[in-house]
Amino acid sequence: MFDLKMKILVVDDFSTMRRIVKNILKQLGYENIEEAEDGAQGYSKLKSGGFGFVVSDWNMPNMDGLEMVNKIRSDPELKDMPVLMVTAEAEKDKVIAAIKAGVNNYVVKPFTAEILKEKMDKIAERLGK
Amino acid sequence: MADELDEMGEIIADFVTEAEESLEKIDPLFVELETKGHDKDMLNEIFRSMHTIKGAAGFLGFQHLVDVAHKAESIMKKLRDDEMQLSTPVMDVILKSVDMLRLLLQHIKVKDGKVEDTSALLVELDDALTGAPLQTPAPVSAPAAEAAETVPEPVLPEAAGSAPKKEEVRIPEVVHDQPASAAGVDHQAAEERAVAAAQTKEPSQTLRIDVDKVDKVMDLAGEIVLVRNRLMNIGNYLEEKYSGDSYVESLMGTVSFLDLVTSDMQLAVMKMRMQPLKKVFSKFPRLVRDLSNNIGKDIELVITGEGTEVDRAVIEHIGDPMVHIIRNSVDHAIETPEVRQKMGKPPKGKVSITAYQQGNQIIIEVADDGKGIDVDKVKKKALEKSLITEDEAQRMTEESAVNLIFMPGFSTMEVATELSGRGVGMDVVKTNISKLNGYVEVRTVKNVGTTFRINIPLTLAIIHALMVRSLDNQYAIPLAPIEETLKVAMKDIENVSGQKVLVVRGKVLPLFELSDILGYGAGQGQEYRYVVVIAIGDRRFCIAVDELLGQEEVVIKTVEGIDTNAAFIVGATITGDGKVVLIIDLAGMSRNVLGLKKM
Repeated sequence: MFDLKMKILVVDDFSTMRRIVKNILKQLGYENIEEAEDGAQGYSKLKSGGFGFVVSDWNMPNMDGLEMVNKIRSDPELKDMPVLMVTAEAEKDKVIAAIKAGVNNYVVKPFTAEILKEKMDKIAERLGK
Repeated sequence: MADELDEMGEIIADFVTEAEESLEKIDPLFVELETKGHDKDMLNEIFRSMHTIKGAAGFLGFQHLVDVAHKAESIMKKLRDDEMQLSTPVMDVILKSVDMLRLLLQHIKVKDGKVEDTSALLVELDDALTGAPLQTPAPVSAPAAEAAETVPEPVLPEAAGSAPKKEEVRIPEVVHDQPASAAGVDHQAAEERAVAAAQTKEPSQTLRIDVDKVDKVMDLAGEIVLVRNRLMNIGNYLEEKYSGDSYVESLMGTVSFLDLVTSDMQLAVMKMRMQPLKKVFSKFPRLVRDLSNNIGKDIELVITGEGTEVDRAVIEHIGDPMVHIIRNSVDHAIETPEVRQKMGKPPKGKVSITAYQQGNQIIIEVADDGKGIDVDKVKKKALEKSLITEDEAQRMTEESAVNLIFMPGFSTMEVATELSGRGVGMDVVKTNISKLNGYVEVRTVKNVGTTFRINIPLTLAIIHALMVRSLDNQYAIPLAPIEETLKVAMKDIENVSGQKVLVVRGKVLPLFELSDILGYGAGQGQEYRYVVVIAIGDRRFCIAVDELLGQEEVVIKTVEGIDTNAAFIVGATITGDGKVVLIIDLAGMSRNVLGLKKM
């Protein structure tokens, strides 16, 4: 289980989606949530420090989710940051690319609070938290 | 629980706004795609828009939206990845999908509970998906079926009902100064860059605020202007009476500081309400495309200056009259390719929309390279309708004659067909633009084309006005159209066949008594008259008054309960000394005095 007080970054270009994801995270008890609207902004927010988890959309302008994960993994400060990727539909080739890039897990839109919890618990488990 | 419902309502309202904006953004891309052909970036942007709408709609349980967006997205994906060729039928079905998405969003927005039947469209989308030659065996249809199975059970209850969706304005925190320039075109590139820069920054630096709240601030700013005016009046009085008194001096210092701050605040609030014309213009490429496709014409639409910012009220009200003008250009002014070729014109017709700022006016031009308006026919028709006299028709310049199309009563269907449809509802166009304190004029050259030029003041709420007295009443005349003011001796005003005229700098201009126009009867024989020279578009005329009282910044308040159009009044204001004063509608007045009265 992750600490409910950890700071979570929600990255999505569509503000309604950010709000929805935030809402679900709140249902799970997470309170400290910040937002970014594309990979570039997400990455620079992460660089400012203090984050424990990232929920990111895939398809975004400027820098998409995959590019952001690549940047995170090649950054010594951020390389261990857990990232959950949100995808629209299970597209196998895409998911494989995401996992290769170092995404900790993925979740298919639309998802429920239970599904999100499951995915996050799985990541926590693997990270030994 | 109540909180959760509220939250849900807000999320849904947000979703509708954002999804609508997203569709608005991609709208002009379709037409561009059709002309440019395959463009990966554009295809991707449309794809992403559908994709995002689908994603959020899935969470909110809007299954119809998900279905349509999903299939449209699949097509866009294939187009983007070169698995499908862009063709007019494909484009048509995508456009239909966009329209359907809009309709579905509208139902959600107004909560009318209406259910659209999307099945026919879904079949069409499927046909488009499978009908076109594919290089890979339908990779998208499998997840489609899967998604359809897994989609239900929305996380958030659909029945939650959305809060009434309110209009919002986006306010960029960074206000980029756009230099007002007469040569608007020179600045276009710089302006567009500035706008582009503002747009890339937009999401992080904007705040969504209810229009009501902004309007409230605007209203209060207006009140402060009035209070400032009164304070300055009182200050001036005190200064005269107690000159040298140190308190009065410090009061005057404070008042002049207040004066500065008020002006700055006014400007800032005004800018808060400004939005780029792009919001309106982005609909036109689609309009021109659909119209010209319907009637087998080939028309190119060129838009420049869409980054020009105007008041929100202009954004709201300029669309309809512009659609009217554009529709007429496409339907009637521009010839078919065959006719054009015969005349030695390029087969592709052109409609250009240009917007720029000129001083404190916003100019929007809609120009076509069609057949022009037949001025003689216009005159003839106006004569038949008794809108003008034979005498006037003789004396009228071509420019004034063609502007007869804006006169109420000119347009009829019969005239419309005869005069290439130019007449249909043009008076309505004019009325709509007058409501924004603007005016419209038209220039036409036979077989070369027609240009409609719309002038609108930058701000609608606060104007500079010349205060005048006519008989016992005080009036405010908007300063912008005033060319000059003169004091003339009664004997210099001549009478030519029943019409008073005045020679101003070598030109003979018609002169009217303000009291006469407003129906109070003429003033008594004084020795001197004060004359205000007005220029509305190409037309110039003089208004005679009893006294010029000075300039004032006035806040326009709407007047309830009277027909302001018929009364030549745009509204009322409260002056520095607390009087309620009517503000003259010069555009309306010019139409009336120059159009209906004997010249």
